Amino acid sequence: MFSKVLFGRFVPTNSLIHRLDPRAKLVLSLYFIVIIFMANSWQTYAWLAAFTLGVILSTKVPLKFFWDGIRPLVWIILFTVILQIFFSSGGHVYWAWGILSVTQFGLVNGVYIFCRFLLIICMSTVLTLTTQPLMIADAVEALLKPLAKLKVPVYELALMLSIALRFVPTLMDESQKIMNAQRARGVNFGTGSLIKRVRSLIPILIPLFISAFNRAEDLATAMEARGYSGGEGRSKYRLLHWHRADTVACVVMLGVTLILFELRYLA
Amino acid sequence: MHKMITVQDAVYSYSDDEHLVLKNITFDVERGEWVSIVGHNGSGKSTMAKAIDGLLKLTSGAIEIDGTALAEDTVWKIREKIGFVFQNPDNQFVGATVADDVAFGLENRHVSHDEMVAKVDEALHLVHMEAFADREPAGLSGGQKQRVALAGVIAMRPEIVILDEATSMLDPEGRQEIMQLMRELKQTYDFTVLTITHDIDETAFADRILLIDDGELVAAGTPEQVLTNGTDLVDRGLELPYAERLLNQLNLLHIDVPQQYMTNDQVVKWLCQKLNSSK
Amino acid sequence: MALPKIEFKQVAFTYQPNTPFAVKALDHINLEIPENSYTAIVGHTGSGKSTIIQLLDGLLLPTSGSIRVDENVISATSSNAQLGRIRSQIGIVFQFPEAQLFEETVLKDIAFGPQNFGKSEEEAFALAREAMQLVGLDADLAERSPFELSGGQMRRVAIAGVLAMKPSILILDEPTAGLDPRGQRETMQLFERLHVDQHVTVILVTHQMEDAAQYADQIAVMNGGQLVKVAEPAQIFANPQWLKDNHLTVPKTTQMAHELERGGFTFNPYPLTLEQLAVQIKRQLESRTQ
Repeated sequence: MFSKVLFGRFVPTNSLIHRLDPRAKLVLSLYFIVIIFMANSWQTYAWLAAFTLGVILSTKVPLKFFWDGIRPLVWIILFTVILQIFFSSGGHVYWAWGILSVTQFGLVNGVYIFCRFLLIICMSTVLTLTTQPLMIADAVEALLKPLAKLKVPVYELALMLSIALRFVPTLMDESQKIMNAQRARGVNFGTGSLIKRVRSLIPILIPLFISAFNRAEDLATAMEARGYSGGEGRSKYRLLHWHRADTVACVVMLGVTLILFELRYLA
Repeated sequence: MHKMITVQDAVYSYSDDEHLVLKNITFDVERGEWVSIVGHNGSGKSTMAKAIDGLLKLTSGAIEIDGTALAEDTVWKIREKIGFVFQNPDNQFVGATVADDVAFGLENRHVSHDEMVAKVDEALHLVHMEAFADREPAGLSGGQKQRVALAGVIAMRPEIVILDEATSMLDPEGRQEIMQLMRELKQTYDFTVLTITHDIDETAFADRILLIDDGELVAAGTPEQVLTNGTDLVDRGLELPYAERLLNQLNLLHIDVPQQYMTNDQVVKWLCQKLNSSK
Repeated sequence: MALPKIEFKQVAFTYQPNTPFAVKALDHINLEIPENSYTAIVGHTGSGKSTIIQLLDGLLLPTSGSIRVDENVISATSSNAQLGRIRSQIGIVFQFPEAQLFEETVLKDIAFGPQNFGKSEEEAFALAREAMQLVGLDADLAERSPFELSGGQMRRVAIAGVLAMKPSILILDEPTAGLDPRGQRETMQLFERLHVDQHVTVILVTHQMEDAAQYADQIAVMNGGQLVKVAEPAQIFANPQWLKDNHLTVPKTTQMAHELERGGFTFNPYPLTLEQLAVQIKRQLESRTQ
């Protein structure tokens, strides 16, 4: 019931994008976010937007899910855009009042910032809608692997991340149950003064913490019984496979970059 | 006979407490035997089970598993022989999916990837959960989660399987499923089985029953010996088997009942004979 | 005839309505629960039992239809004030209720409910002490932290916390889950005493058919979000095959009676408890000897 709150939930459609290796998807999304900052003209933005739209359509995920990802951030975007419009200067001045002014550059910058935000959100939503959280965790582990040589406990961190993900629904469920029990005992959440509202959380948070600690203790015992004695040398059941499609995706991204630079210096 | 588990004078107390959770418990279990430890909540039965797996350290006493004394340097070797299923289905599910969870123990033992895939598939097949391999635990029932836990145990081919109140949080259907499954698996692999329970019905498949009350081993023997009125199970917070209770009730109504222990089927047979012979 | 205490009228409930994830949990529920009655709601896991409980206490609001509790009505548009009035007369013992404990002391935790419903601290503590006695908790435990207690004692504290609100309706969701046989017996007897002595209307949601057979005067059977049958226990348990079709376990007494019938015994009415079974066996054995 709560999974909607979690960063754009996984929607299985088995598209080409879904089947890409999570490492490829993670690295390429991060890379794309970086090159968005290279765009500097309407041609470059148009090119990146067209590419993003192409990717979105190829996921076969209904567009509504992307809108769900953007909606909670609408206010932040608008706020930033407005700041940008009013506070940047240069070019033709359309309107001025004290330190506030609407200028040609301001408007253009505002539009660019808006595009930048939109592209970043869309691309990261593509990642989360087409990749299970667990796969993202696997990709992070694989990418951080070289750090293990520097004594960074990469395996332990990855296991922690995967266990945390696995327990999110359990704890959500638990908090709903505790909330029901306290409401049945007369607690009214979300009414009254701020202090009253904060205080009404205590009967939820304390049982939730206690239950989480008990679960952690049980889990540790169970892991020990199953022979877990640290991350060192464990074999892996879930292997990531790099396919030709992943290489192709990298090449495509390279092509996108080349065209972007072409457009950038053309202008 | 080959002794699989030997427990000698087991004593346990929490460090800051004088109260003894286990008081000089001595028993042994033979290879291939199914033994049930029964007792009320807080009687110490779970503590005993955890001590056998080295999950807690006895205050005094000795435990031997398959001829090896349990000690700090042998505990990991010994745990390889023991598969443990705990009470709470949610709190022992480590993996993010069913297959990942079954693989967890194999990963700990550095099993190669191909071998692991084969073992996970086989184990899931044995507990009838192969269709759920990629499912996340959140969507499973308690009984299904415990079946996954059992698959994780079977994949390791243990010598001993310990079910520590593994069915107490399940609905009656899940409970029956797990016990039935355990019975099938035992017939295939001939593990030594130790079940910890307060539910007398779950001792149905046991060769021998140990009754623990307040940390003391108060009775040990075959179901026929332990599950009769004589061992005052009710006073010890437990219950007599249904057939035994019915016989008691009939006895109260002045019907002569046989003195020996009878199962449900035997009681039905005896009553029907009595009815028809009195025609 | 007096109006029933609780009345479900055409109640339906859908989780996440109008989304692609909509799940219909209940449909066409019509159920009457008379004053001072003991009703058991039984059904397979996921049959809609826990949704019914949450609807009864206004923790969820019905998608359509209405529930009347005395003179208060719960519908899709009920206000918080209305729900508050209903909650003040309903006590719910949730499954594993010890998970709701949070206060520093046993007494404070038990007094939490009464205080929320407007009792002064003094009154609430008096009610709490009374409830402790009712559930068999030693008065010495009042100032202890509930988290230092044993599992069985914590369960009693949680139950006392519900009883201290003096509910006229008590909803029990698998109240004996995880308890050993003695704990189970004592807990069920406590609720029976409240039902008989203080005329509390009890609604028991359970998988334990033995308890439903022994204590309830009507049983509501749920399957797949529908109410498939409401009847007296003797009627519900007369047909083992019907029970199995609805994913219910057959009580041991029913099972035994059924097997005895194959060997020549006849039972009418069907025995619900071990004692009833024994009496009927005796009667039949003796009538044959004469």
